[in-house]
Amino acid sequence: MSGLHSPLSERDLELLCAYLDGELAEPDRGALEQRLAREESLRAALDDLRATQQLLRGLPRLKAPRSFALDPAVYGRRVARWRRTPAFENAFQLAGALGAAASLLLVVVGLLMAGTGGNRTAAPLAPTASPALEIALQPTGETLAPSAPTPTASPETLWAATISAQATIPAETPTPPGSPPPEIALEAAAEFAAPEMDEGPAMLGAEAPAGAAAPPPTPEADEFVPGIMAAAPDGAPGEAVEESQFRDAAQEPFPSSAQEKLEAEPTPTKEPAQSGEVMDNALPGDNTEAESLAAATQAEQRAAPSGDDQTGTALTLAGLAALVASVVLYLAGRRRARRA
Amino acid sequence: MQESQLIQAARRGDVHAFNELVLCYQDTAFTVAYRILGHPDSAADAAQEAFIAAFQKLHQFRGEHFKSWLMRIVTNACYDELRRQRRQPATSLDDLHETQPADGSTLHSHEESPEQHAQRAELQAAIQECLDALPDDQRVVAVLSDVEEHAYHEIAAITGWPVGTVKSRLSRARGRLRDCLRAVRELLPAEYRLKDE
Repeated sequence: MSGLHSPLSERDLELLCAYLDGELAEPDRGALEQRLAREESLRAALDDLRATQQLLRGLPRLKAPRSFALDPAVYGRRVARWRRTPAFENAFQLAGALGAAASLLLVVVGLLMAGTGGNRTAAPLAPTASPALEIALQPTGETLAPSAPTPTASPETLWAATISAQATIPAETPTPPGSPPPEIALEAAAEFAAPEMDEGPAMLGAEAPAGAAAPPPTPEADEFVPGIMAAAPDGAPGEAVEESQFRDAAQEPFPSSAQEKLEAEPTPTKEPAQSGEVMDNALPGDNTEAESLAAATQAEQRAAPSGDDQTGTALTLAGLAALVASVVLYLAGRRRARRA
Repeated sequence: MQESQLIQAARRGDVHAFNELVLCYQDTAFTVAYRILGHPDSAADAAQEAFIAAFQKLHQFRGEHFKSWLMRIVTNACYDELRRQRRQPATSLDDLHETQPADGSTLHSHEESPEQHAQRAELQAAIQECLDALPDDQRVVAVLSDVEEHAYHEIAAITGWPVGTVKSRLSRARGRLRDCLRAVRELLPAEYRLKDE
């Protein structure tokens, strides 16, 4: 290093080089010139650097040993064909990258739409919490909850449900030994659905919690326990029903008016039919019919996917196809760029 | 045709126009490559690669000084060659016997005697050896500044280094060259004898 032969510091060496090249700004230049006037060693170092620079500048300019001109047969035609537009090869890659991003977005949107549609159809298939209460709770949970916020259920509908329940239990279906009696089933359903059923006609399908206290079974009432329990709440529309009507209805053959109504209106989404269905399904005796009806409804929902499902699937497929095309475009652009 | 017109034509794919530019700058490119690499064959290869790369990257040229832009490509080609040489170190018999084949000193004028010619060739070889002894970055900046006489800001543009880095590397390079040339002071002409001995 220079420090071995002279006391010149790195800073002074840099100042002298910049001064030699005319690259030193004025304040530093003036200060260095004052030092050069005083310090002989600094002047000697400057002379050495100048001599070194002159030696290097005295080196001859070399002549190329051969021509470096490009062969037009190799470089001319190919480049002239597609390099007329600057960054032409980059356009392919850019288009491919943008297309791939858009395609991925399309796929994600499609999957989201398909997923949303799938949740809608899967919701009715959710199992109930307890197998023991499954028969009583499943239909109640399905249909009472939606009817709770709509207190417009007509008295006739509730009426028909009451009659249906009353007509089914005592007359035809003996209670299985392991299954709870109808009162217990209805009470359990009422407890399960209690948070959703605040007040009003929706409560008619279950025993009144406030109350309460269902009246003690009387000889007349023994025969109509389900119906009375259904109509128990005070002030509810079902109150107007008289016991004689219950008796008349109970003596009618099984296809009751409610059942006929249900059969006449097979659409499961209609509110009155659902109400009748609720009460029918809530009774263990009519279990098989209710299950078959629910199974048929679920099968319909499975078999007919929603519009969102179809749109989402279509979007996903289109996105995947566009993604493939974009990747091909990007690779083609990259290949061209490499060839360039 | 002017240089800018040649450049425009070459950007449109006109190889003949580009070859006009090659003829203008090939000696400069070869000189820089030789001073950096210290070997004529390596320098010729680097210069050729640089011109090919320049033609292929001509669409990236944004209208700055063409010589500086070309020197940047030549410098990068030299760095590539240096890396390649370090990966595959090889010395041929030709290299051992080759002293100054590209230096122009083999052609002497009628005005100098054979002794003068031999002394000049020896001096140039000594300077090149001192250059070869520098670290790569210092050698590049010394060649660009003292051989090609580029300004600091041009060197900064060519190398991509800040001007401060250029200054410091150049001063260190000159300090080393000065010390190296002291060792061969008997070869130096009287007007170039270093005083600080």
